[in-house]
Amino acid sequence: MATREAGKKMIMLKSPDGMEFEVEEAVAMESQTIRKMIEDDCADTAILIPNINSKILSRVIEYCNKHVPTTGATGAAASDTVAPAALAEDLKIWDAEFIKVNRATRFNLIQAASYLNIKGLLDLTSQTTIDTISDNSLEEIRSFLSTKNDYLPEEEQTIRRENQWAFQ
Amino acid sequence: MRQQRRRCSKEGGSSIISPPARGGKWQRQDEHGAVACGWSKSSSSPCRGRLPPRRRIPQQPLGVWRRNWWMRSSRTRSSRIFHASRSSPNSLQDMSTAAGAGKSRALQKRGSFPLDLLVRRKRSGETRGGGGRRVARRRSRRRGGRVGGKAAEQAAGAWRGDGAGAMGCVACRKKGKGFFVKLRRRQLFPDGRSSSERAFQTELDKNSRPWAGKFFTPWEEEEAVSLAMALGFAGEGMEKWRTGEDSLEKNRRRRTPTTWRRRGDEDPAAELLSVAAGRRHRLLLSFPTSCICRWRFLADHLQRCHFPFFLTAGNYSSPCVHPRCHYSPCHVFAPHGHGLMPFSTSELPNGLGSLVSNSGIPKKRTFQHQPKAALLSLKNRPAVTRGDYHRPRLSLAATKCPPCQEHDNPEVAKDTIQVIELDKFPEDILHHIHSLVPLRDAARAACVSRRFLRSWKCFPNLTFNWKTLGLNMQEGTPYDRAKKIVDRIYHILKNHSGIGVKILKLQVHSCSNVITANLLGIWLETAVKSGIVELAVDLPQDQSAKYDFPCSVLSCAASSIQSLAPSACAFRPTIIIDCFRNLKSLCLKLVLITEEELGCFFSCTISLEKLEVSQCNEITFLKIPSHLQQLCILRVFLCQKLQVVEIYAPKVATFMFCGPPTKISITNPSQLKIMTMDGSFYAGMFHHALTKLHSITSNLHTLVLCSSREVSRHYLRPEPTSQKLDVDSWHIRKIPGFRHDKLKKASITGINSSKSLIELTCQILKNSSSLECLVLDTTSGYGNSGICGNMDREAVMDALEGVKAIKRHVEGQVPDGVNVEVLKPCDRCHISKL
Repeated sequence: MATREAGKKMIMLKSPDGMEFEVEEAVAMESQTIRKMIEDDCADTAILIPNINSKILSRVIEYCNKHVPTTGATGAAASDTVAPAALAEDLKIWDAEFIKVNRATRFNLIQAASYLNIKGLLDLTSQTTIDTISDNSLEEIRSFLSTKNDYLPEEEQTIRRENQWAFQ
Repeated sequence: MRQQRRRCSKEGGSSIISPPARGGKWQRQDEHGAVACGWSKSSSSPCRGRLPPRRRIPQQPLGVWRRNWWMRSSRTRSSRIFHASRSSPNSLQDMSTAAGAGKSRALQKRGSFPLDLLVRRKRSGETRGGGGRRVARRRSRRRGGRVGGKAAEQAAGAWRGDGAGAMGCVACRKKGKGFFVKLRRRQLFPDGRSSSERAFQTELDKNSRPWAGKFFTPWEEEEAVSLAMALGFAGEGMEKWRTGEDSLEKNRRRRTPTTWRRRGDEDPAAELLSVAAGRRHRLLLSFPTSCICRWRFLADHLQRCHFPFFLTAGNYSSPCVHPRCHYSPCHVFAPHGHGLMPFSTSELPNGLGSLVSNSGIPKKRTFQHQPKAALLSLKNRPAVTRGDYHRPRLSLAATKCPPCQEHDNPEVAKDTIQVIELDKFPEDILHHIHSLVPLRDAARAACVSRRFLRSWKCFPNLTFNWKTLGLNMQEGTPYDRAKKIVDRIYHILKNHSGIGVKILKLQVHSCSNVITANLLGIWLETAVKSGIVELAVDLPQDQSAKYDFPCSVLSCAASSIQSLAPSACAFRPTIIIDCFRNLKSLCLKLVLITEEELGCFFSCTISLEKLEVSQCNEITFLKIPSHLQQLCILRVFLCQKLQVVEIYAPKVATFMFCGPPTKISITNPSQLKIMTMDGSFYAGMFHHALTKLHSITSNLHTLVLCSSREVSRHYLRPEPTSQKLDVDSWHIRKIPGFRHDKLKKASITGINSSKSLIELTCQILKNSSSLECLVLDTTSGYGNSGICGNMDREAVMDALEGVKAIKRHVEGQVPDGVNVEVLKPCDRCHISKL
């Protein structure tokens, strides 16, 4: 239910396991998917976010909460004495701390970010994931990304021959 | 191991910080904040202790390493401390006492060892009694009859500029059963110092900063000496220090030859660092006078080292003595609790921060990934702004958890989240993740599974250069390398579907004899499809006429392309192609295009914002049409035949021009805010600016003029609304009605003692009521890298005269509230070469 509280419009988000989160509209608008819903006036009742459980959703909201003031209040920040560069630096440190999660959570976050269309979060999670790829052997990459080798042996040979330069 | 981690106190003064009772690690901090550390043996058996086994540097999780690296690396067999400082003689005595426990017994007995010299010797048994000696003798015989060798060397010399310093070098040679100590003294700063050095002496004294350097390195003395030389710490004794270089030559033969041959043509400092890298030693450099310019220089070299390194500045609170250095050390080096944890990483010079900040040990790099060009790029690197040091990737990389830690994470146990496999991700997420990977890793990832292969076939970011293709530029002949690059591009594009390419950059300017026009056509046809955003083709520079940019391929990409940068080819867009609706940036470099053809191309663009025309030698008349409403940045560089520039576009705010004085007209000059007229290689730019550009500079905020030779001396009247004025070597006698009430910042580069320039300076000071800052640079200006530009002897003397003249005539006339900054020649880069 969309309610008003202290001049701020609140949006109710609901996860499939029944938890409900009340967030400010500005925070929810970080997600382009939700923004579209709000703009289309589909947000009168609680918005059900499918496929994202409460734990992940709470983390996503935590991220949005942290990131909303910087994008929303850049004008105000510029007039403040706090340098925007310092703010960005703080945010980066916070991001680095935020993404220190296990792999399962990270993959869930990727999925959530992709569904909710939060570009910053998607980039952050994806970048962290791909950092595992560089300078690792194929088997290691497979285990990091928990993906299976579905090549036939001869196929793999061919592919490897084609991309031989990348292994040198 | 009797290792105790000790925290050093931050209080000043020389004090030994809790020397361990039975030996172990000692630390000392002198009054400049530099901390000396080392190891002493147990006092009960100072000489007979067995050497600890050589430790390999283990690959550990970074966090652990950071805590312990001091302990792990400092007891390697050949670790040695070379210490040179007499900035505080008393503290040196303290230090040798502290290290006394580890001093050889023979030395103590003879009593000949000077207190202010500190000897640490651990490499072989030479300084040890008993079995150690025998082993040493056997070893040395094997080495070709040389008995002993230098048993201890040590240096203590004041490198401060007061001339009192001398460098002592002690060599202990083993002879029979005893030792004799040979003391050589080498004068570092001979007393016959030049007048110019003396002139700056006052400056140094005023800062009361000892010009001292401390090296704690595992190298030979000579190596350290030539490192000091390379770093510009040698000051006036430069000639003397050459001996150090000679011995480096000698040492070279002893080293692994491959290392040397590969980078024989580089800077001595770089060589030394690669030696250290080869030995996998720790390196600790400490300079109380920290010039960040130098650190930046070092950073480039250090990037290639495999070993943990530490840089520290002792006197981090005072500004740099380097007159050109605009960094303040206090921003860079902050003391930290444990030993020498020195950095506030956010402010470190580029590269250095990423290496030191997160780990204390730089990430192991292979030389293929760190090719020479990284070193050479120092020259061309644009000025780095603060805050630009951390790219998101770097900071993220630091946070990645190794998989083993993930499983140890207690959070996992109670976590109910099911593991999703990446295989189950929707294709678009996988594609997005894959697209973030660099080209080489992406190609490798293609071998992981079929889904990745599908994603690889429409990989969006195709940036081809020798770096992304994983080539070693030091390997093989240029032709071989070119062939390899072309082969790899060919293969990648052959397997690419051509769909989904967003960025195509062909940076193949080094492949001059391999790329054919035909091949280029095929590549572009494959990759340039609708949806492409950025296209840059950088072809071999000497063969512009050989390649014809196939304009037909652009027609299919016209609606989406945002940035186009053909280089070194013929670009003839005569056939009217579709409208380039989204084209925002066009950069033509060394392109053969006539003004008609360019006009034709302009007619199909509407939203151009940035235009660069550089070295396009067929253009005589450059007309920027008025329908380019969005155009705000225009750069015209070195077009040889260009005679007229007419700008009808209404919103041009930045105009940069480089070339001989040329007729320039702008229909709407009120929008123009920043203007650069660079006539560095041509005469008469000031005269031209003065006589012809008067009408278009009405609303300027910043004007930069450069000229090399001015034939005529004219009065110059910069516009009254100019807020910033950058003037190079103006000759001005007298300026009637010189009044600039809005001028806030002015700088004159290359000012000397000539009367006209001094007069101009006085005029600016007197008649600019809102002036805040005036920079008088007596030298030739900054280089791109932030390191001083080259100046010959005459120019340096001229500059010194200029400083004198400024002191005499200008100093008294500075009004309150105006900050006048005088930049003098640099002691290290200029004065030392006198």
